[in-house]
Amino acid sequence: MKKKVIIVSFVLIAAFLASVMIGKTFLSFRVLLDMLQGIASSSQVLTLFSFRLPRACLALIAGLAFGFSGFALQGVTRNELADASILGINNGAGLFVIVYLGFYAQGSYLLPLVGVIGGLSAALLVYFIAYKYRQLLSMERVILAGIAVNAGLAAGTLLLTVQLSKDRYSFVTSWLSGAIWGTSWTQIISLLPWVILLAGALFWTVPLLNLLGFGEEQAISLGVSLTRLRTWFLLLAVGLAASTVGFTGNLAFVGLLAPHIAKGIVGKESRTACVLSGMIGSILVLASDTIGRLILTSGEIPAGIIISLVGAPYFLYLLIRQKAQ
Amino acid sequence: MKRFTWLLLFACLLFIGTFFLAITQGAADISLQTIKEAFFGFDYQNQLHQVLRNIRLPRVLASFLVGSCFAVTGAIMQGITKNPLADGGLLGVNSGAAVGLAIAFILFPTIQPSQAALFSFLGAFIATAFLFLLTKYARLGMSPTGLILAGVALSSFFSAISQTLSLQFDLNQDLAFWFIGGAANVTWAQLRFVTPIYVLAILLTLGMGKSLNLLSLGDDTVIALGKHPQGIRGAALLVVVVLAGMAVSLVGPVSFIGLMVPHVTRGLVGKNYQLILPLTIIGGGTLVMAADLVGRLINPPFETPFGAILALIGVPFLLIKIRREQG
Repeated sequence: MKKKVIIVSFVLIAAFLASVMIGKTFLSFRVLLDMLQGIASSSQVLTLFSFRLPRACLALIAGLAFGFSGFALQGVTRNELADASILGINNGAGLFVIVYLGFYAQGSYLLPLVGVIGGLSAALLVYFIAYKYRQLLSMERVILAGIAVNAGLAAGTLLLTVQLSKDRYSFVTSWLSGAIWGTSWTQIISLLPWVILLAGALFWTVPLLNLLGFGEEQAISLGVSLTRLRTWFLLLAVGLAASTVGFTGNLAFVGLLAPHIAKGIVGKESRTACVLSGMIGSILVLASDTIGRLILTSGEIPAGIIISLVGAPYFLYLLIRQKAQ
Repeated sequence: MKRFTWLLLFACLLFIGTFFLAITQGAADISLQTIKEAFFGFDYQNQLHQVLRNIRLPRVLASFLVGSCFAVTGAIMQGITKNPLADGGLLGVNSGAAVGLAIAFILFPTIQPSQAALFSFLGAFIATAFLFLLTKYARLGMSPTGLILAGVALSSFFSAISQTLSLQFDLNQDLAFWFIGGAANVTWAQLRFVTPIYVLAILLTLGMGKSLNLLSLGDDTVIALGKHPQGIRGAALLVVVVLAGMAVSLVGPVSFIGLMVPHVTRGLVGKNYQLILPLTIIGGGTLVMAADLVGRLINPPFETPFGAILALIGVPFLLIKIRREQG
C-alpha cells in the first residue's frame, strides 16, 4: 500500500516538474538548479515565476480539489458515474463567475465565493427537481436532473455571452472548454484557503463516508443521521468543485476519473484512497495542461478538452460495464 | 382519424401564420403588399425586395427545413430505441456531424455546400454507429438514463475533437460563425443542393410509419409477420443519419427539438407513427421558424441563436419528462 502511494507521489512530482519545464521556451533541469543559486537570466526567472510556476500550482490545486470533490460525490451518491460536471455544479458556478466577471469586477478574492454560491444554487436546483416527497432520493433521477440543469445553464451562459463583447465571448467559450486561465499568484492565494479548509474537512470525515454504504437501517442503529451526513459531504463536494471552477474553466471528467483510479490502486474507500484521488486529480490536470501546450505549434489546447478525450471513452466503458453486471 | 385531420389542418394553418410573420418581421419590416410585389414583380432596385428574396426567404425556409429534420430524427430514434428521451442532440449524433463538418472545413478551405453536407453525413453516421454499438454491448440493454448518459459522454467526446481540430487548424472563427449564425447564413446555393435530398428523405420517412409501429410490438412479432426488424432499423437509421447530417451542415448542432416535438404530437394522436410523423414534420419546422423569429426580435438588430432559445424551452420540458418517466 505504502509503496503504491510513494509511486503516485513520484508521478505527481514528475508531472509538476514537466509542467514547469515544458512550454514555448524549454527550461531545463539545469536552468532550474541555476535559478536556485540565483545565476539564471532574468527572462528565465520571469518565465518561471510569473508564468509557469503559478499555472502549475493552480493546476495542482485544482486537480486536487476536483479529485477530492469527485471522491466525496461518488461516495455520497453511491454511483460511480457521479461527477461535478455531470451534475451541473460546474456550469452553475461558471454562470455566476461569468456574470460576476462580465458585469462587475475583475477582483479575484471574491471569485471562489461567487463560484460556490453558483454551484450550490445549481446543486439545490438539481436536488429539488429530483426530490420526491417521502421517497428516497433516486440517483437516476439526480443524474438526469443534473444533465437537464446542465444543458439549461449552458444555454443561459451562451445567451448572456451573445450580449457581451467579442473578447468576452471568446473568453467564455474557452472557459467552457476548460482552459486554465487563472495564472497569477493573487488568484492562487485567494483560492488556496478554500481548498485547504474544505479538503481538510473532507479528509477528517472520510471514515464516515463508509457508513453511507451500510444503508438506512444500519446507520440509524449506529445512531447516525444519514440525511445530515449526506448533506455534509454534498456541501463539501460542491464547495471544492465550485470554488475552483472559477479559476480553471470547466474541467469535466477529472472528478470522475481520479476516484476510480485511486480506488483501483488501493481497493476500498479510505483516507488513503481519498488522498490518492486528490493526487491523481492533480496529475491528470497537470499532464493534460502540459500536453495541451505541446500538441499545437501555435496556441494551446485547453486542458479540459484533453481530459474529455480520455475521460469520455472511459465513462462510456464504465456505463457499459455497469449495465452488464 | 378525424381528429388527426383537424390537427393536421390546424398545424398547417399555424405553419402558414408563422411563415408570414417570419418573413415580414425583423430588423426591416416588410408589408404583405411588398411581399406580393417581390414575388410577382421583382424589382432589382427595391431594397426590400432584395432583403425578402435573398435574406429572409432562404433563412425562413432553412429554419423550417432543419426544424423538421431534427424533429423527425427524434421521433424515429425514439421509435427504434423505444426510449422516450432519445434526441439527436442529446445523444451525440449532432455533435458527430459537427466533427465531420470541421474536417470538411480543414480539407476544403473554400467549402461547397455538397462537401459540407457529405462530411456531416459521415460524422453523423459514425456517431450513430457508436451509439448503437454501445447499446448493443450493454447486455441488459440501456435504460433511458443509461442512453442519455452515453449521449452526454459521446457528445462531449465529439465536441472535444471538433474543438481540438478547430484550434489546431485555426477554424475557430469559421466554425463559430457557422454555428452561432443559425439559419441566418444559409444561402440559396445550399438550399438548392439540400432540398432534393430533404424531399426524398422525408418521403421515405412518411413511408416508414407502419414499420415503426411494427417495431413497437417487439422483434418476435415482426419476424412472425414476415418482416426483418434489423432491416427496418437499418433503413430508419440511414434516414436519421441523412436528416441529422443535413440539418447540422446548415445550422450546426441543435438539441431538444427532437425531444419536444414528437412528445407533444404523441400526446395528441397516440402511438401510431403513421400519424405522428407528418405532424412532427410540420410541428418541428414551425417551432424552429418561430424560435428563429423570436431570436431576431428579442434584441434587434442583434441576433440571439435559436439553439439557445430552444434549450430554454427544452430544459424545463426535459425536467418535467424526467419526473414523469421515473414515476
